[in-house]
Amino acid sequence: MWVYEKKLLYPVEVTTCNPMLARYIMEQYGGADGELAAALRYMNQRYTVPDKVIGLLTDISTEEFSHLEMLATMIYKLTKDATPEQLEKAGLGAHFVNHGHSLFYENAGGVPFTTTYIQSKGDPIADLYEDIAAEEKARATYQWLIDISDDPGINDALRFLRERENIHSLRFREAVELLKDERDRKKIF
Amino acid sequence: MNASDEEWNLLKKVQQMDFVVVELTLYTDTHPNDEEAMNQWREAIKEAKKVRKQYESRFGPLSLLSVPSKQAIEVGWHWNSTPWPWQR
Amino acid sequence: MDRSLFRGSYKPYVSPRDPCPPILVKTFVLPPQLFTNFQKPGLPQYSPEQALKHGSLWPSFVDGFYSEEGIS
Repeated sequence: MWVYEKKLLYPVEVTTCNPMLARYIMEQYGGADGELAAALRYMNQRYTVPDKVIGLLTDISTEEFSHLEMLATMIYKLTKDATPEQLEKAGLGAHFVNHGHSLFYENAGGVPFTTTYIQSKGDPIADLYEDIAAEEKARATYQWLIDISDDPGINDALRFLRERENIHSLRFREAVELLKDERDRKKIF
Repeated sequence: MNASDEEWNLLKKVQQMDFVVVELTLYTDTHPNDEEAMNQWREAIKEAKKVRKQYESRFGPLSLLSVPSKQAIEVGWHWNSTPWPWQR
Repeated sequence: MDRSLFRGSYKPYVSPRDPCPPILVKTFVLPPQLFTNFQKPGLPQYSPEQALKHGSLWPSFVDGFYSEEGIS
């Protein structure tokens, strides 16, 4: 089970009312390489990986949910008091008629989240390599978000999130090394 | 510094100490035999607990694993009190 | 941290018929974890304040990213 912590992993300060930026950030909220996809991917893979790496998948998945909450905070703050006209100008007119001011798991183009974004192959190396790739793709997405955003508070939080992708990628690479250590173990018996 | 800034800054301290625990947890997941890191991890949990206690005694529990302080109850704290993390 | 350690570059082919003003050198990211498949014990650490600010406890894995770098 999980226990809710009434705080963000990292303090998010939003400086501007900028629904257009909110729309772009949705790529990491409900997109293919986003935090929801990451959290669900690892939380599901963990049941069928070698025991050595279950802890890592559990802990990283849990952290991804805290990243999702940071992104939700950004989207919420960037759109909170925006008028329908402002939302429409930001390309969120279609979002508004379907969802009002609420958040939804969709990408920057408005495509709803789908589990076809993630895999679980039951093969530890295939799964871990997907996980490494997912972290690098998320890192790249954060880079382009930083490039397109001029909100200093948002950029500060995005830089933090980008760096976490570096660390998660490193840990998954280490997990591969840990599994390589298991080679030929059977022959010794 | 107003009361809200003071709370924000103390919460940030909690976030800093908790983050060290997050980092060391992932590290020890893949380095179970690094005894020095295991010790630092244990210490980091203790330190994070101290700072959390400081925050919670004044502003109320951050999770339901903590007992609400008398002071927090007196100033009308409820689990359901605002602000939620995304509202701050 | 020397960010240039974690960046690569190449010169893309430029055609005289390219419609946009050509970018002569393209830079891309080679993140720190690429060069270490397993973190060595005892690496230097940030203080808790700096760790949260940078997004990691270990400076060796922090490369930062700024739009001013012109990577896109």
